[in-house]
Amino acid sequence: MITDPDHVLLDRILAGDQQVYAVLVDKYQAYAYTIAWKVLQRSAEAEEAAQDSFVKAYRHLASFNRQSKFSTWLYRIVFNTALGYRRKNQPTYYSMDGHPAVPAAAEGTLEKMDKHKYVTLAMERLNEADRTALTLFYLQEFSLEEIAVITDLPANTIKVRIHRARLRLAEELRTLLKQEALTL
Amino acid sequence: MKKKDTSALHDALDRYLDGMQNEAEKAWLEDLQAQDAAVKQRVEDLDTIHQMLQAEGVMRPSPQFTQHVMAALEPVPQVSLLPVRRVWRSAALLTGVLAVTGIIITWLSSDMFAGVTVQQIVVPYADQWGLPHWSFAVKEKWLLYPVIAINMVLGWILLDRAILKPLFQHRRVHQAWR
Repeated sequence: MITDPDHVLLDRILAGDQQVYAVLVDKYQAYAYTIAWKVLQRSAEAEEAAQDSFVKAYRHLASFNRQSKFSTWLYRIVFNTALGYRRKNQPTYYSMDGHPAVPAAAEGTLEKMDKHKYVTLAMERLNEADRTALTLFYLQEFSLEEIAVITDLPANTIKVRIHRARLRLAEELRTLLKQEALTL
Repeated sequence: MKKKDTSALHDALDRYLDGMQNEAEKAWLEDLQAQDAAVKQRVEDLDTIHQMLQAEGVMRPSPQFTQHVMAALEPVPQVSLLPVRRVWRSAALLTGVLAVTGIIITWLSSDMFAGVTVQQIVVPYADQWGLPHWSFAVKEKWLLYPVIAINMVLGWILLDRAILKPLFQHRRVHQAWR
């Protein structure tokens, strides 16, 4: 069992003080929402998935075995819930080269986009697992081991995915910029 | 570029981005960029990506986020810490295991099997299956010792799961609550 200051709060919640859970929700909502957003890429859905994850975590609080930090366990729930939402609600369109295609509306406005939007668009073209590994890594809150727990993959695999995702992202960004140059 | 060189370059690029390069590798990568325009371009692309990703930061949900979550919660977490029915069921099972172990130990200590030291075990239906007739001898108590050992282990597992663990968990929670 590891030492985590949140475990004391969990004990109080389990003993009946439900309001203490608001402290945990306040503390972790930003990261939970960010993870959900990176998977879903839509604000409303990401917020719903993140809220749903907190409710699920609360419901299963008594079965949390405390072998990891509460936050790691929670983010794993967020990640899986967001993946579930994505599979249920969001169809992915694939272009001829097997990459998720840029939506037509987005393609038309490429020239107006700033760097942040290019990255977001390039990120959309990565597969879910690579995108999540990269996102969690760059949030700088998580070690490779924690990312491994959240995504249920070995740490070495995460390392490889981050490496591969960075290269793919650079390639995708180059492709997007080329596409933009052709439309000018 | 050879596969081995490509792999070395990829590793070096990762360490470069994560700020973990030593001086020798830094010099090697700089040389490589000077010689190969494609490598230079790749380093620049990765630098751009790295900086953009670092600048992304954490996003904030709506101000009512916590309020919505709290409104959706059920009154108490579902699992009770000391499930009484489960404890009673396990306690009854534990009593059974301990009783069986006690009976066997009593039999052994009262030399109940002293007269029957060897048991001939014959393979049943050997004739029917066309197997050769064979048998082996086993001392009765050597059959009983493993039974006792298994019972003891089972008893300890049940004691731990059914009584000790829930009891300590219950005590820890109530201490935190006070």
